[in-house]
Amino acid sequence: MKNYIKLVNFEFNRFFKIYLVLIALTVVVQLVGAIYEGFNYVDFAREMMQNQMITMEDFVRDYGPMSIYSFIKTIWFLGPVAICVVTLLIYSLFIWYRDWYGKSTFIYRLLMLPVERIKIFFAKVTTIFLCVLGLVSLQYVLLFLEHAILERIVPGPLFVNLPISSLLNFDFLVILYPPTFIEFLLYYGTGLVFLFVLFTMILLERSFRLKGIFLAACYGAVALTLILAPLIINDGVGGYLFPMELFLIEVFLIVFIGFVSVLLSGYLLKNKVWV
Amino acid sequence: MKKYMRLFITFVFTVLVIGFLYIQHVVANYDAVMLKTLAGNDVELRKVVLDLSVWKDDINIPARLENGKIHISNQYSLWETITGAKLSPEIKNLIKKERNFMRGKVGNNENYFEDEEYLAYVNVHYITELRIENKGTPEQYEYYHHVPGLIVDVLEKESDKRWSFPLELSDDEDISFINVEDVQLMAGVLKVLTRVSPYEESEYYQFSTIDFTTGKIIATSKIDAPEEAEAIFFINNMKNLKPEHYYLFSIRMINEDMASEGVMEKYYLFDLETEEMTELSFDPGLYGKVVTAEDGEIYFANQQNGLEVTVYNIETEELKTLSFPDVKDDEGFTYVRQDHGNYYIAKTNQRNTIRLFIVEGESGEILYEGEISHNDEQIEIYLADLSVL
Repeated sequence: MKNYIKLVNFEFNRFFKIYLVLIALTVVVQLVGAIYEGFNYVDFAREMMQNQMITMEDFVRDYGPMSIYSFIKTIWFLGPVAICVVTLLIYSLFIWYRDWYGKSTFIYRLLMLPVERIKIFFAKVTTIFLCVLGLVSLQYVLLFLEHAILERIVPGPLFVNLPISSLLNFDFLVILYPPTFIEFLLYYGTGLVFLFVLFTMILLERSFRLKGIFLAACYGAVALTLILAPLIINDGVGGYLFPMELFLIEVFLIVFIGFVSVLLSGYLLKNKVWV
Repeated sequence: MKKYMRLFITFVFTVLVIGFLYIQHVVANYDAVMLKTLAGNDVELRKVVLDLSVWKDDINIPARLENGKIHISNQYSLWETITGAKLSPEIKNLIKKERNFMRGKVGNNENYFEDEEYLAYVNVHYITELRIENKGTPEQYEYYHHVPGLIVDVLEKESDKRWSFPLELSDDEDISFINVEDVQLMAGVLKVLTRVSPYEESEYYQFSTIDFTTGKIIATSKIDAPEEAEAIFFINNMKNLKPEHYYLFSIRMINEDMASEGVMEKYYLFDLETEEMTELSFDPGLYGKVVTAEDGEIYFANQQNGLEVTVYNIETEELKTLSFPDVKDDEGFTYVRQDHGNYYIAKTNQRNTIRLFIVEGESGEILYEGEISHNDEQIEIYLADLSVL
């Protein structure tokens, strides 16, 4: 366990600078965006009310009120989220390849460490996963701050005080913050297995190089087919299975794919991967 | 320890925020909507399922009273879809009892019929066809046409014998859609009430008799509003799966003698056995608003001075009145259901509370009286449905 934590800490520190940039970018862009959007809306409202000689109530009726929900659909909010998602996806590949192609072929040292090699795999998965959850948590805190900023800038009659808990039911936020803890485990558990499969594919490529690209593609395709097959077949037979039955099959398959990925990755790291 | 500080802070921050998020969910829903027993025994509630609509900050949160407990649900929750929490209590019950029959079935209560002998399901399905008009000419164009049909499935419970077949319906291009409103099984034949919505004319109902042993439609009749009428409405409790002998329709008539608001409603009874339609022999306005019809009875609610529910028995033409003087609200919808001689009545009361009564039909004795309310008086609670299992 100690070795595993050491490895996680090591991997986390390697990514920390980029991670800090992502955090800073998200915080700065979203908070500045909230201030800008708040004042922009107020200016627009003032201008329209003066030009059209309408009351605040008329303006709200014609142009809609301001709320945190309006803000989350702007580029100020979505931009940093998209950058974080793309960066973490790219780093999920880079976390392995930097060991081979980085300075002084670092993979030599990693593989020579007196620890079980599968712990390297788990340490990398944990790092990515922790970074994802860290950013998701940060975003949750930021939503409160953005709501508070907008509430301060926009006058009461023009602002809808939408509670953050209700906001989480809309759009993509329902995926980031699933409504129940069970769904949280389901969604993020599936994400974890996705990382297992992706890392196994990378290790297949690192083990068999050109042939490995083909093997990795096959592995990914088989995993995807296994997960989608029950859904497609059930649709084809007119929804024969009840949702709970389909769900249990999917959970079994996802756990199975995750288990096979870990076993295969362990085998590849121990016997096949080469530098 | 210092060298693990970054990792430690990130981990603790994540656990605290995500922990707060889900603990907050639980705390917010804990006992938010409360049921208080005012009289009688809670045991009476075991058959009652009451769907509520809780409005908080312009957002609708569905809630359900089931087995005497109130559960706040989330309409966006995938888990609730998986567990079937969003299904109607009657369909949940059917899935438990007749799991095999219910496989692959979609639709709502109105698509099902159940008595002691049979369980039947009828639904409309559409086959999409690509059609080409003006073929071979410069004006040629293609469009998708949806050909309607019926899916019929009948189960004889004791023998486990099933009749399952598709049925073709007349393909009329002027029809926008067809909806099954009720299914009955009477004297060995299926009787299906469908609502037909043409593109240009007003909606009407169609009553079809199907011999499920041969898989053929025996007869079809149109239940339409008279020419001077504005529209026709089906009043029966569509969620009821049990046998019905009568349908109650209301027809809105525009009375030319009266001012612009001169719209009057007439009520018609449709006898499913004789397929005859007769106008209700008395003025329903005498007893308040018509609430619904179920199991050979019509329910009226008068909300002028407290709540007064009048039960009219179609066969015996007897009237029975149940009074609830404590109910203050004179607006809102009243739900009345009957099961094994007991009446279940739910009504929105003042201060956005819901009152629920269970009354013994013969004696009029109140077996249970309860009140559903929210600890925040700003929150509005509405009734969405009442079922008795």
